[in-house]
Amino acid sequence: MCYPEKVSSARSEEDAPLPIISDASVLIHLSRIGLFSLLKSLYSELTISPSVFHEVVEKGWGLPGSKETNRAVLEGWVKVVSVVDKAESVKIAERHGIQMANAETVQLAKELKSSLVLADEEEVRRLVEEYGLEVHGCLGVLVEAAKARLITVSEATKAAEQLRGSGYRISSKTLKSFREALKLTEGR
Amino acid sequence: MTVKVKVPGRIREKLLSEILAMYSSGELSAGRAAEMLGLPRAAFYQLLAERDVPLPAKLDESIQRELKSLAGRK
Repeated sequence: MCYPEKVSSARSEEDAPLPIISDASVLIHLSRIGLFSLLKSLYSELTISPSVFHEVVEKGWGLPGSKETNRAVLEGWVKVVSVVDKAESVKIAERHGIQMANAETVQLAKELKSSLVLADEEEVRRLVEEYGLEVHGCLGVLVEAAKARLITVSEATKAAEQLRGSGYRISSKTLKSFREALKLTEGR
Repeated sequence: MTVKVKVPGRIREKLLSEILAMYSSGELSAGRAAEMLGLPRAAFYQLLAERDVPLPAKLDESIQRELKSLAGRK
């Protein structure tokens, strides 16, 4: 296991692309179905908070997502970045009654002016949207991957079925919306 | 000082069912539920799979909105 020796903080240069932040859920779910590498192909670089690293890698060592995330940190395409204003993270957690790790993900997205947040936790998604940021869950990632021709529509459909059987039991209505979103990628 | 309390199996099962029900109804996030059960998040997801627990309705609806927005964008 790697322990990030230096946890960077503060915003990178102005010209750098806006970072994409992920919470623990997406890293774990995509690992469970063997599609963690899609994140690299699709986004090139991801940023996570130290709490997410702790939750997925240290606490969950040996479980889905731990080795994949650890390797990604070692390879450098997943960055572990601390929030600058820790007091604000505490305020977010208290004000909304949410977990500290989730509050840090939201705060990190605000501080880094993230273009996209990857999350399948309702409380993260709700807050991120309230701050006007875009959010994608695993299914959104699969649709984007199909759009980018990284996977076929049939692979994406199969992946969604696998997710359903691995602790991500979406409703039939949501599965239908997913299939419709995928169908539109076929005609592109 | 650490105090160890032996909890009978039926009480553990009740607690587990209660926490899963609270997760499913949206009262608890996955992170909080996992924390309450003393499980890493990935183990909690495994538990959801084993017990066939559906996603909380609010989360499901949020994902639906996202997918509709992605479909609308083409």
